Amino acid sequence: VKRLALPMALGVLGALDLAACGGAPPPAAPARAAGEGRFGRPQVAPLRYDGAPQNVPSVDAPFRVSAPALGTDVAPDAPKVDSFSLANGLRILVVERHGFPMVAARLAIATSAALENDVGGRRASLLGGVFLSPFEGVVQTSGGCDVTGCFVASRGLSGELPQVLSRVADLAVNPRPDAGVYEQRLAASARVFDASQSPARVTLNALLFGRTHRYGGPSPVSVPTLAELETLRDRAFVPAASTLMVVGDTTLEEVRAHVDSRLAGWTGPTPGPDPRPPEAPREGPRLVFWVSGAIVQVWGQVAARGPAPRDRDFPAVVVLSTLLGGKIDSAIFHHVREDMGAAYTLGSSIDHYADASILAIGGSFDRDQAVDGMRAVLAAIAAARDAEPSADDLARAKAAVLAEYRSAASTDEGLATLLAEGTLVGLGPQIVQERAALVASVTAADVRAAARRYLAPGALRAVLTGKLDYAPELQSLGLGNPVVIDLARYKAQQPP
Amino acid sequence: LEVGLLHRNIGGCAAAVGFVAAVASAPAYAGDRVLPSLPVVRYELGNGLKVLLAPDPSLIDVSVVVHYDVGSADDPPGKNGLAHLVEHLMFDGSRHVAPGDYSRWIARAGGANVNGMTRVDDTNYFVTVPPASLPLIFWLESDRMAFLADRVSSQSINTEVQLISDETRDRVYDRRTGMLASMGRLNLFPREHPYHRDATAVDLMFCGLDDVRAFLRTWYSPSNATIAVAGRFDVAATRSLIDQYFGDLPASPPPQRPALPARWRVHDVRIDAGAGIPSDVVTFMWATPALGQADDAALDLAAEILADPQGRLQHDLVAAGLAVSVDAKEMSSPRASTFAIMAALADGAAPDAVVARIERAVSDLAAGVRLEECKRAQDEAFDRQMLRLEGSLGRATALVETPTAAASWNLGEYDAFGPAQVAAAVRADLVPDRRVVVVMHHDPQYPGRGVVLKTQARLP
Repeated sequence: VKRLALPMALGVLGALDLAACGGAPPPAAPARAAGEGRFGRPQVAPLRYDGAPQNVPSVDAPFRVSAPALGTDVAPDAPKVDSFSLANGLRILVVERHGFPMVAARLAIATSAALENDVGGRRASLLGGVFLSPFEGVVQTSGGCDVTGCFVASRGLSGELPQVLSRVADLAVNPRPDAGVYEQRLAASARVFDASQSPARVTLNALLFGRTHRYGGPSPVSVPTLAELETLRDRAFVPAASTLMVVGDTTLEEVRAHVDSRLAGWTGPTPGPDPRPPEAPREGPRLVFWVSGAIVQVWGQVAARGPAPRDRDFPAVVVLSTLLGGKIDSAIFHHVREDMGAAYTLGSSIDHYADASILAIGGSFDRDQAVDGMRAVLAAIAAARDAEPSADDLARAKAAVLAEYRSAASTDEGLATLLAEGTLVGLGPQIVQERAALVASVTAADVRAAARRYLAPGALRAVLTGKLDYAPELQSLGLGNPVVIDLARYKAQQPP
Repeated sequence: LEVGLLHRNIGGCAAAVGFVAAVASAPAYAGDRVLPSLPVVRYELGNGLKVLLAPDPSLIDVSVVVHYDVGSADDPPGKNGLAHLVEHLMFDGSRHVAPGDYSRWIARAGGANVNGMTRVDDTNYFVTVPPASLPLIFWLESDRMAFLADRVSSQSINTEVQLISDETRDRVYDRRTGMLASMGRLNLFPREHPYHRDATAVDLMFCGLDDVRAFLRTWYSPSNATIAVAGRFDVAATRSLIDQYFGDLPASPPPQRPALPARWRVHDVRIDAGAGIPSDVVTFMWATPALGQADDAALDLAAEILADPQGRLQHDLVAAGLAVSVDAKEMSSPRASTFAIMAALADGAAPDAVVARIERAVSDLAAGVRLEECKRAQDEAFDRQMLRLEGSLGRATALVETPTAAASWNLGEYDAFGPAQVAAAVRADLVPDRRVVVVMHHDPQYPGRGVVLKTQARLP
């Protein structure tokens, strides 16, 4: 919970010998007497192990031979969601949970209508960075925007509901411009390629949706001025496009009273219809290799476009993703990690937007086994197309999907986030009630059909980031000739 | 997963409490805070296994954390990484659990948050499951506590050594400012101290079957373990299950660790490094009192005050245009803590100016703390504690990390420290002869983790 995520386990290249690193040497250690340590205290003897057994071997017992019976209550009870609306169009969802004296509030703002075709979500990112992030780093309050919408979240003790709602209202209703913050965010957005994983993430979206699509990019777009951002803010942050989630130790009546006094005066234009994004192209390169000398491992991802969250195929795609690598018991995880020793982290994920999703599988590979690891991932995808999963594999994958949902819904903030996501992608708040049944209804045939529909060979795209040593081998992946881009040169050529 | 000194979030300054069968509820805080009632049952089996049960029927799941009092600081000489290797092997099967079946059982049961974590001082294994799957977890955990060695082979060791190498490259070499931690450890702690560690100095190629078996015999026994269960479960049924699965495992007291120096001098080193990071980063680190010792909790509040988004460093560095973000933290650990201040510099800002501002901010804090900023810090710290206790996993983790805390879960402990105590702790502990300063200069020609360019003494 503490905030400074110092990578304390992380080390240097070998022992850090200060005297050998150049520059002025550190002060000489004081002369020490025999038996004294470097710091003038008695030297501590290192622990010694002689390997001699100190204990008595454990004795086996019949009840240890086989596993006890499993429970069947994998899915949590669906929460009861109450709702009401204000005259200005703001919708409020309330879930009462009185087990722990805390409350979480989350305001979701659908902004795609106001931002139109916001390529790569860059304007949204700036909008959130400039107007909704002044409290970044405070445990109670956060905010931001991406291509699916904006959010403001806050939480506190249950007795602090008025303050929690005030913090949300203050950010959403009175977002103030700050030229300094604007400049900082602009500078940060120009450094999108500095993180070692960023090139792969950005490129996958571009390969799957094109460079001018809302979910694609990156594309050289004109950067809005602060004044233009203010105009966008006035158009986007409106009550009629917003839903407020309140979850925790409170009551519907209490929420109603406090919301009314803080948000009933919020006004703004009614947003127009959400423009559908243009059809994404299916042609273009399928394999990109970013040459980067900055990382030792190789980041590799295989991805494909998936259905929108409200599509009837979506639950099957979620289960498919879990089967392929969403959890540590997946076959591909075991094969690539435990059998090959080729990747410490390997998994699958689904990024979902309002009108589409991305299913990605990959991880951080040992550089000597990266191509073999990617080949194994592609083979697992092919196997998913070719045959239905076994009943046991399917049952585990479905249980794992529900476990993830249960875990997310176990905290007030987690449940508020699930409700907000459901609202922004068009599933509605009822998704928290329907999810378990939707997952349970997925059949082995559904999963195979989803694999054939969304993971067809021609639909797959892949991106790798690493050193160039083995680029020629990439042709053997069957994704065509790789487009090879030198990351350092690319960054140097980017406009500010 | 191997992580370092960052040990716990709820500081512990309560006196040691013996492990006796007891049921207690959190007492009402004397001030205006409303504390939740979170009863805890504590007892110890005859073989020394410590048990902590925190039932709460309002939660939707139950979490189990098995804690072994052994960490990477206990790696034998010449066997760096052995504790981490054993943690990996714990997921590879045991006598009655075939290789690969541990994760299959967990998935089938609807398990979440499955992981193991090797730290300098201890090793923890986590899982969250639906309540009815609790017997399965005890079966799995007791089997690998007692019978892991049956499944360990040279092949499984070789595979995990390879994966640990991958993990080190992921988490150290390919991570921004990946060298910061070791810079801190190697310069803040004397060679004799177990925290004087370089995470990349791994000797796993010298670890074999005999080493793993000896390590297991020495440390992986009920006498050296604590099991915490938090969430929705029946106490009586759970006690019965724990007795069944762990009660017949033999006791094996672990070896005593040598005493450590209580205080030592740090040579106020400044290190300049080049790193392919988005902007320059200035980090101050101090060696500070261990978890639960005097000043540890007061330094938590000092960190809150410095890092407050409306506070001193924000004003002096971010609002002044010198930094884009600042943070401060007291990272509490059982044998010593580390206080850190980190600033990511704005474009064009001079690192020396930021170093000077941070020094001045610390000096100002030592001179005096305002009552209102202390109160804000107390509120912030309390909120963090509460957030952690909201879910079952946070509670189970808090239990094993603060086993000697009173039944209040240490909630409200920060209210005992006023402005005078915070300022006094800063004066006593955030001093030049306890610190190291690292300046990482943005330079794309270097890897993101950084390369040391220069070290220099800051004090004569």
